[in-house]
Amino acid sequence: MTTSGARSTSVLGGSVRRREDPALVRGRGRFVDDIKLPDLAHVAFVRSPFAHARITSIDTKEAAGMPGVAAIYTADDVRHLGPLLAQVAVGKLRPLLADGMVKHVGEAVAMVVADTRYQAQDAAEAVVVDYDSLPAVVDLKESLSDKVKVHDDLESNTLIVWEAGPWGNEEGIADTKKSIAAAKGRDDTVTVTQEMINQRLIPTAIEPRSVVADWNEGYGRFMVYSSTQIPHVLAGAIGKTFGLAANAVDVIAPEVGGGFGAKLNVYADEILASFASMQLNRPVKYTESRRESPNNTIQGRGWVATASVTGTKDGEILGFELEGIADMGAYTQNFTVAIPFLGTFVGAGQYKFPTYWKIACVSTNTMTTDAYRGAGRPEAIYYLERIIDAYAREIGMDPAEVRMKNFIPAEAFPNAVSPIGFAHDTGEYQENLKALVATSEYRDMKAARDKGRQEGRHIGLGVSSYVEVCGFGPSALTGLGFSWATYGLPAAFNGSGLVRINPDASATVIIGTGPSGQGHETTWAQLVGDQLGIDYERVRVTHGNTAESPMGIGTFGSRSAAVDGSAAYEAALKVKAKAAQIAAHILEASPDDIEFKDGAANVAGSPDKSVSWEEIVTRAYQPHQLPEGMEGGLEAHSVFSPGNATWPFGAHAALVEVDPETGDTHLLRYVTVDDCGNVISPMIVNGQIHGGLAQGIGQAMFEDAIYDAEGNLLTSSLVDYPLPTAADLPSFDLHRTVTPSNVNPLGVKGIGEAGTIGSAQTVVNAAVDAVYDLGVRHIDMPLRPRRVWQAIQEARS
Amino acid sequence: MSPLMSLWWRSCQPGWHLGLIRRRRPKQSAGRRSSGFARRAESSRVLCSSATNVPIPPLPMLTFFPLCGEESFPGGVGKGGLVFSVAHKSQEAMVVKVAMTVNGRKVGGEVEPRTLLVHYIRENLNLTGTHIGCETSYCGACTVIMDGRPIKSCTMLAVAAEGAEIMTIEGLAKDGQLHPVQEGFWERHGLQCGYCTPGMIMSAVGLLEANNNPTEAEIRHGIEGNLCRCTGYHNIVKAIEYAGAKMRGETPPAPDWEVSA
Repeated sequence: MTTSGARSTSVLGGSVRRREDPALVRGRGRFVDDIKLPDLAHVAFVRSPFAHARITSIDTKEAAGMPGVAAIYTADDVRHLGPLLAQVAVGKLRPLLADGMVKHVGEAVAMVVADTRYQAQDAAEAVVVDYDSLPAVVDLKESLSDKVKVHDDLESNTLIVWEAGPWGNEEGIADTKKSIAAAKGRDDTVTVTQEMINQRLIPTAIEPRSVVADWNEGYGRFMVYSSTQIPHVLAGAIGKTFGLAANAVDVIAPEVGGGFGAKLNVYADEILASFASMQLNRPVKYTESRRESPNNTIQGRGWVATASVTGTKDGEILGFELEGIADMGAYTQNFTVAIPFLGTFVGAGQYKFPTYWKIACVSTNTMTTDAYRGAGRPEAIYYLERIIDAYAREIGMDPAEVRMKNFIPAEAFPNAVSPIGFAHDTGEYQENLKALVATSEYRDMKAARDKGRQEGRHIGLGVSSYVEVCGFGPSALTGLGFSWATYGLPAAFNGSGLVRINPDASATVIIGTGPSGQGHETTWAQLVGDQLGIDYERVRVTHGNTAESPMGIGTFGSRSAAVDGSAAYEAALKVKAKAAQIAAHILEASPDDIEFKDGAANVAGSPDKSVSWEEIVTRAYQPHQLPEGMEGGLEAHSVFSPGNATWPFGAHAALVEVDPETGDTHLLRYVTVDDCGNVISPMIVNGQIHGGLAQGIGQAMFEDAIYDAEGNLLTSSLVDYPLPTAADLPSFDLHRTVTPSNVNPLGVKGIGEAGTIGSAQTVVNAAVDAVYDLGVRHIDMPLRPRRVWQAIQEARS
Repeated sequence: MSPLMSLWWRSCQPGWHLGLIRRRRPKQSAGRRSSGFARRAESSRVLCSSATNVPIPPLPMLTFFPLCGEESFPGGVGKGGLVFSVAHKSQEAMVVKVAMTVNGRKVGGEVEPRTLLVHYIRENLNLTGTHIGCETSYCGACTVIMDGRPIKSCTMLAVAAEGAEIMTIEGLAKDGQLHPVQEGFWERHGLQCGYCTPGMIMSAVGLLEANNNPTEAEIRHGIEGNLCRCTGYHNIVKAIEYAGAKMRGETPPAPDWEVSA
């Protein structure tokens, strides 16, 4: 099962140069802000300087008279449209424009539309808003106390409490708690407890979000370009808001400059630009600035929780508990409160011990949080893998060995049920971690640490395993919010693909979702071309266009290959089956004996009996030449609904050096053994891991969205929100094991989030290892020099 | 001089001066407050008056906050960080003439004096390959080559490029042939979403033109001013190594996803 090296694991396609790149490297990729339409107007927003305040007046008079200003809108103009829709509508929904109150800094209060970007900004600055400021709540524990409430009309700041282990089984939860309490009471056990912060993060796609909305009164239709991961959902949301069918809203997501979950949301500015376009009868563009973005586009994470693990002195873990608070921000958007819920899915990680989880979702006077790469799963795995590491050190065992001892065993698969109550499709957890420990890099890292220590350097080695849950998803989960019902689109999170062979024997693959860097144009062309024996160069992929594609759910949660890829694959099989019948008719053979390769269909075993795709297609489009009763044309659509999510897993190791005099922390080396099932393109899979690692390492070492006590975001530009640069990171050493999934025909699991989910705790474990001898037991992220230095000082004193 | 510094420096030249530098402490106690500049999050403007009363852009944020959060800035940067602030009155748009050479073509026309170079390139010249990612010189998505050196066009005024020779990403490929750096990015999967790519490529071109055989560390430091959120830089480094080898007339190393480990 264990396979190292990329090529050998490529069962489906192999690495080909990406289809997307020739345009992008020439600067000819088309992003939303690049789009210009005749008579285009531009939007600027007037935003709240207060985290919590009552709006007493808005004076737009001066601004309205300024050059180029077409309109200024406030809540009075858009109240009738209702609040911004959310799929999991627990908590307060966001008003499109602040209605009498503002609940976070940066909340949009008024919208200015003008002929140019500069004019719109000038006028926005001239709008005078009077506020009565009110006390704000930012701290999570303070929010839990309800002393200051974010929304007076809600009973509490606590919106929902997720309690798990095992899911949906109250008796089971009570039993779990009992057994953990019993384990704690035993004389021969050790309990390690640690409160840890999983800080707020700003997703920061390098492309700020942008939307162009164009209402055409004559057609009675919208044309909307948006930098979104979910074009169909946006069409549904705009349709529902304006009382139109979703098919009267054509949404195109052209090139999308990174998403990472932040573009997995419908935004008020998208609805407002549409509104303005309808009012003014002209196209309207809004592009957020980087300064606006952190308070306009969702943020991620923001947890404070206490993890506790109890086990014997020889490494058998008897129970794990996690209790904490998660920051929802001021308003609920798409999935907000569901993010910690998604974390519970992997609350017990890859392990078999009883697990109890309780996370309170609380409001604060800050920007909304929602899905950011990993979405609940990095948090879950962080707490679990940090506390297991602390326990291993406490009992003096090798952290990797402790993990192996407590994994769900290979025999329990397929469909091993975790203590949380979910069935993991396939897994080889021990083998995977063994593969990591067996790499030459791991051995080198261990040697480097030991040698460094002899020289008096503080070098640490950290390990972490992880499992994630991807490829949503099963149709049966629609009741848990896994559909777009509130946007008027009650479809399950299916995959959907259409494959068409055109009359010139080229192939077109149409997928409703669109990528934001994942290389779908390349991957779907590989998959379909490979199945049909049609040259990759003659397979065109179109995506992210709601007018021409069947319903697509969106690109998120590492789901595209597992679900949409499977749909494209199955659509290709349907086309192939029909083409085989046509070929069999021509060749007077049985359809079962027809094989497709190199642009033709052959009878198996008789290479001279073959017919080209051109001839098959000619017949298909000239139905009188088809077998009796066969329909003309050659295309098929497939909807793929998996029976289970996929459960990718892996193990990572990091080597970190800490300078105890300054707290300066450096990542020296990083090695991974990820298992995402079958691999379509090793090149693209590796690229996804690299990017995921940079974001997990970014959280561990650099990134932190800091609010002051009054709710001002202190890190609202890239000057003070440091993303990792090239100089901050090493090159990565990647390996993999391959355990195909059993829930889709490709055997793929998904890889978009693995790097992020596996990495933050790996780095922190390594940093703690580096200074463990100085008495440090935990350092909260990010590992900036001052914090590390302080942890060392506290441990020393 | 960095573009940001250059903007600042220019603003201090005769005809330009910073009208007001003041420390602004946001009023934090509950109470009534009227806010004429409605967007505090956006309100770090530069008050710039000059003999001709030329406004400078409302945009680039000229707050010099350290690259770290509250920890190294006791009290929090929001409570009194140095903010260059400005009353910038809107007025009828003045225009000035500007002329430069872009991708070998002489271009020119009238612009508002405050027009940023990146906006001039994107909106006036319709060369949309140059992107905007941060408006503060940090992300480098707007990097173009001006008079032979990579610069960040989002914190430079179009008028400051008067007479300059500029190359944008669109001008890099010659006669349909990709530049070795463009080829390297394609061959080594040096891009995912492609948004940072044009700026990253222009920086890499500048780097390799100065030194076509850089070490990995030199490459990493050389592109430090360009942020990528997708690739973790791993394959960008490989792409630049590929391009360097090509420019030296050598065979580039095999891609590492092909190498059995």
